[in-house]
Amino acid sequence: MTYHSSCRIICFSIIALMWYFNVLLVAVPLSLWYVYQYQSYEVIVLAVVIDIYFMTFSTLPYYTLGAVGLVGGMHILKPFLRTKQLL
Amino acid sequence: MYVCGALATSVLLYFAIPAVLSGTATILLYPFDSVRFWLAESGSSFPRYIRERSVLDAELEALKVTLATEQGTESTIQKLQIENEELRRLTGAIPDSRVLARVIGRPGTLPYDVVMLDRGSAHGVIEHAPVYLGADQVIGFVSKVTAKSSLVTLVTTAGFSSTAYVFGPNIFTFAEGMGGGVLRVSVPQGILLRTGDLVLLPAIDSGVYGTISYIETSATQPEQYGYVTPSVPLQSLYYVSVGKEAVTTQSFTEAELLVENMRSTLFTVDVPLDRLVTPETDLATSSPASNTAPQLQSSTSVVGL
Repeated sequence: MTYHSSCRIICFSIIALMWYFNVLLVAVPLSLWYVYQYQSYEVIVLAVVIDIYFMTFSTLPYYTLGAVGLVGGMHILKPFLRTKQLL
Repeated sequence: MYVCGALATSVLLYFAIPAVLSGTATILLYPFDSVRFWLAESGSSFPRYIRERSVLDAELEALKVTLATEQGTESTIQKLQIENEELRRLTGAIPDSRVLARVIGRPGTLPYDVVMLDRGSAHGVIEHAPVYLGADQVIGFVSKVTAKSSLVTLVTTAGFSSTAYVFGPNIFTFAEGMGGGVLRVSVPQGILLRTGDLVLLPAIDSGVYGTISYIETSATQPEQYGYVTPSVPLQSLYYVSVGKEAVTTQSFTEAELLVENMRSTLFTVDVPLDRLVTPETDLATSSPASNTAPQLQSSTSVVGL
C-alpha cells in the first residue's frame, strides 16, 4: 500500500467519523480538501449510508445532496483551481 | 643541595597550596555562604518571609490539588444524585407497559433531529412506539429499531406536523416541529395565547408535550405563533421510556375524549377513600367504589391531605 493510498484511507475514515458524530467544523473543511485532493466518489456513498441510517423522517436527504453537490462542484471547479498544472 | 631544596619546596607547596586555595575559596565564598545561611536559618523577617513564602506556595499547591479533588468528588456526587433522582422518578413513573431506555445520541451529536436509545428489538422496543419523557410527556416515536438500539424521530423534527391542543384558549390547532426540541403552534390573531399554556398532542395517549415558552405575534400578520419547549431540554435528556405498543391514529372523538380526560386528570389527585371527605352522592356518581367509602363526615367536598 502506497503512502498516498494510506493517507487517503485515513482521511476518509476521519471524515466518516466526523460526519457520523456531526462535527461539522472539522468535517466540512476536511471534506472540501479531500474532494479537491482525490477523485472521491466514496464520499457520496458515505453520505447515502448516513442518510439511510439516520434519516427517519421523510425530508430531503441533506447529506447525499451535499455530497453530490460537493463532488460535482469540485469536479467542475478543479480545472480552474489547478491552472498551474495545466500550464 | 639543589635537589633537597626542590624537594622541600614541593613538599611545602603540596601541603601549603591546598590550604591556601581552600582558604581563598572560603573567603571568596563566605558572603554567599553567609547569605545562604541567613536565608535558610536566620530568624530575621526577610529570610523568614522568603522561607515561609516557599512553604506557603507548596501548601497552596497542595490545597489546590485537594480542592480540585474535592470539587471532582462533589461533582460526581451531584451527578450521581441527579441520576438517582431521575431514575427514581422514572421507576415510579414507568408502568409495566413501558421500557426504560438510556439516551446515547442527541440532536447536535447525530445527523438529523433524532435521538438514539440503547434499547432495541431485543428489549421489546417496536417501531412506531411512543417515547415518553417522565410519566406522560411524549417527545416522539421510534422510527427505526435494531437489535440493541433504536432511533427516535422527535415531534420537533423540522417539518414534522401534528395536531395539538392548547390548554388556556382550549383550542385544537396544528403544531409544527422547528428542530432542536422546539415545537411551534400557530393560531389566528385574537386568540389569547399565554406563556405557560400547556400543549397536548392528542394523537398519543397522555401526550403532553410541554408549555408555551415564547409567543411571537405581530399586528400585521394574520397569525401568531407559540413556541413550545419540553420541561427538560433535549441536551439534558438522559433517560426516556418507550411504550410497548405502537401509536395508532386516533379519531377526533377519541382525541376530544383524551383532552377531556387530561383536563380533569391534570387537577385531580388520587386521594385514598379513607382520607377523602365528600358527600355520599358525589362519590356515588364519581366512583363505583363509593359504597365502600367509610367515614363520610361532611357535606362539603374537602380533601384532607
